[in-house]
Amino acid sequence: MRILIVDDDSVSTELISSLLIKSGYDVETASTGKEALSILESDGFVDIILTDIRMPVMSGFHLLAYLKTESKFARIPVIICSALSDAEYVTKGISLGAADYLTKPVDAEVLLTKVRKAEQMVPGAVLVVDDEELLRDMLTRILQRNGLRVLTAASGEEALEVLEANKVSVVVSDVAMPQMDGLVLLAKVKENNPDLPVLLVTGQTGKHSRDQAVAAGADGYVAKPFKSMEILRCITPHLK
Amino acid sequence: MKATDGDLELFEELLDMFREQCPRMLTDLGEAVAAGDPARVSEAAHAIKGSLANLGAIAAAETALELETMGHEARIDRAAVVFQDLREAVREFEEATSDQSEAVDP
Repeated sequence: MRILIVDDDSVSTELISSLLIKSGYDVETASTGKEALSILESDGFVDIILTDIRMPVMSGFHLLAYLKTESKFARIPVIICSALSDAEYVTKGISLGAADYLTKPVDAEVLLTKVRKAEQMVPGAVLVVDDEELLRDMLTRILQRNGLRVLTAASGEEALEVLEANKVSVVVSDVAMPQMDGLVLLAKVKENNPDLPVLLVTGQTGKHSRDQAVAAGADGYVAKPFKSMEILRCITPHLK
Repeated sequence: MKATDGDLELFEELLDMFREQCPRMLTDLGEAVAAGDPARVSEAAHAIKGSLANLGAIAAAETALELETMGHEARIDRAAVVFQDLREAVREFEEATSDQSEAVDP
């Protein structure tokens, strides 16, 4: 779990980050809302955000409101962490979409309890399965760029191993793969976990068409060539 | 640029991935053609076709599809010729999407 702390007070940041690191979390820090956004916009994948309210230029409320309107960030649980404890601030934070509210000075137990609760809200990853490295990388980047956590597997066998060890919300698999193809993988996934959605990557026509994917029991398909908005439309409803 | 829906930075990233991995994929395909192995030709051409189509390299993707079909139908007598066409189409695509091509444009 990677947590982003946004606070202009370096002492507070230092304290909270050491508590989180001690509990096994990866921590990223930003001293302004703008810096937080540039971390989010770049490669940095973040599971949970802890933000202060009073910061120069962009307040924590401002940052929170922006994140909740931006679809690729809206799923990230945000915990407000502020010395302001008045009911009016707490109410405002929660109504803007904060997952929780934490008052400073931070109590270690309370911090960890709230972070663990927020962790439950973090959606599982998208598992991308394709034997062809370049196509796997391309799809991965398109999804990551849109704020999704991605795991990859180069074969059906590897995909089953990844599923054993990780929280996955949806599987997106190529059909034509050596040894275990996408249809066999689909059947195996459904056997172990009937509720886990599986989408197959298909062409418009031909033997690996969308009709066949659906007939085989797939929950949907991702059409080739990739169109990022269309892919997201197919995948995001399955994120839990 | 449909793969990235107008996100130029992402498109450039996908292009870089392609430039990095394309030589390996073309080598695989070239070896399959030289070995006269239809199944491998079809498989290797299929992989390149998908990547090219994602990047909007339509002409090159169509040439790759031609090779894929040849392999699939096990009639690869002309595969070496089409493979050269594909190399050329990929070269043209890479040239068209390189920074240098913009520099010489008035």
